[in-house]
Amino acid sequence: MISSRGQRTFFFVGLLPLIVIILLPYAMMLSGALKSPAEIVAPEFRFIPESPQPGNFVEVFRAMPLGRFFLNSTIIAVGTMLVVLACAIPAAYALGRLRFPGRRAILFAILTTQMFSPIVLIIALFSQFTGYGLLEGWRCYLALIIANSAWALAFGTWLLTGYFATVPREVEEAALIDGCSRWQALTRVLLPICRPGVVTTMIFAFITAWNEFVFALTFVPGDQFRPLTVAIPSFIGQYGAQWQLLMAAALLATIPVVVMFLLVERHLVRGLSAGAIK
Amino acid sequence: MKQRRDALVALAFLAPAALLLTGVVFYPILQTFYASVCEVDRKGNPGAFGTLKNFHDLAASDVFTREIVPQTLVWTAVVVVGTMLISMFVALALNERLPGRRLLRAIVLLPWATSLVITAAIYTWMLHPTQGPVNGLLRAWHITDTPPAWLARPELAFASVIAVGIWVSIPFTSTVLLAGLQAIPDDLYEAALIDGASAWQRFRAITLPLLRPVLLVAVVLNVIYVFNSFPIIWVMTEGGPANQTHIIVTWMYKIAIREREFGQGYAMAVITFAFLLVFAVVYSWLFGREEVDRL
Repeated sequence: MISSRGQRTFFFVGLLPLIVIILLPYAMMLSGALKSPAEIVAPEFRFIPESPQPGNFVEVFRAMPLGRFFLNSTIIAVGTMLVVLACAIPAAYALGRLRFPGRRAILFAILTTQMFSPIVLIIALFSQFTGYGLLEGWRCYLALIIANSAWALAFGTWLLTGYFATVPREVEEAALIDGCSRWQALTRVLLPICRPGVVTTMIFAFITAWNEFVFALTFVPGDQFRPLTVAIPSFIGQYGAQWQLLMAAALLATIPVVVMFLLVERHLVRGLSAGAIK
Repeated sequence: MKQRRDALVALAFLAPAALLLTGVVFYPILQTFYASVCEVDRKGNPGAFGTLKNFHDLAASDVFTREIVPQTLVWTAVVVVGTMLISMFVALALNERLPGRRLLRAIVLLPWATSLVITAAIYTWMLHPTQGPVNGLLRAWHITDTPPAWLARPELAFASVIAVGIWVSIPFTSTVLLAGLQAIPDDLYEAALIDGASAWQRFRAITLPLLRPVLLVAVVLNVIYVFNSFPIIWVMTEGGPANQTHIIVTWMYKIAIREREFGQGYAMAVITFAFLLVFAVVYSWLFGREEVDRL
């Protein structure tokens, strides 16, 4: 877009305070995570800690079972990733590549699920999953993986359908003529070409499950199965004023998903915003 | 022949996704509607069918009708309007050739990648009356010696959760608007520039009208997301003080999951559905059909 120097200066100067506001909580989290127990409760706040305590990041694993929470989050996120792949890849292939009656209605039905929020269905799911015995012990992992997968599925299917549609039909028809089955054509020809789409779907599913809160809050029966999103806020207040440990835990829980997000940022943004732009 | 084989393959390929969505989305929707007109036991199982008791209980609740519903409308309206205004500015700015543009765009996206729960936990600490950095800075900069207890006073607590609600909504909204801006052809602006139109005139005559469909979609999606938003309020205030920051979904969670009044919970879920259905219909009418046609 063409614009004058004055216009650019106007936007730049206006954007800077917003950038500061966006970064402020992260800066405070980092600063807090490095403070000593005495300094964290000081009445006046300083961004640069007097004597930075990187040991907080080790201490926090002793103060709370943070390792276990990381394990729980990882099990749930990896499980969700696998289930989403297993469901979304064949579904996207069918919707993007095959011609059959009801195709558009099904695509539309899958897209509508994005309009619903987990929170409105939480009561029905809670009573159902309780009935199946899914909310007891380690089986809550299954409940969480199933529920999270359903909510990441629409985006994954939709993203992959778009990727598959960009591959020329001839590429796949050549494989079919050579005697490949539909399944072989999908796994050996189409998927390698669409690797960015597959990776983006995997990371999207992982982040969705890692950051999820309502299901985890409701389905998890005991402390030892809690993922990070339920465990971390439960420590507000519980450990007195040890905010430095809370912030260290929050920072550690955020880093993996932010790194993943930045890895596929362009693909994700394209997929998510294409939803709103024709 | 080939078409029939394709249909069979499609059936097999769609089965896992269909099973998952039926079990976790579509069947629970039906159960929610069904159970809302049943007597519901303390475990959430629907019993005798055909009663409006759940809705009557809800309508008879002063807290729900006089506090929760108005608060939900204020929360949704203020967060969506605030998000749209700020995001519009951010999108226009990021559409300029600014120095460090890629870095700026990545920073704007950052809250999107962070869990809402972590964000809410950070803000809870930041706003802590005696140990939080916000009041710590107010004291350090000598702005006031007696800064307020942000999350303990109803009006400040509500303002605080609204501010955080806007903060977390900006990345998605500005990304959508930016994509819309980038779809506007440059030659329109060039022609307007030759005709001597000012920046404001170009914005009014070109940007706004061409961005209208994208703006509508952004508003509708934000209304749906914000109306349903649960983690921020639950972590920061849990609806308090004195229910003054509850919205329908947090109230529903408290009544149903915490207090085991599942019947009223189902009724609230249905009301939320009805509200969102209107918006979902508007949304699919605006965009859904065309998008499906395109694929």
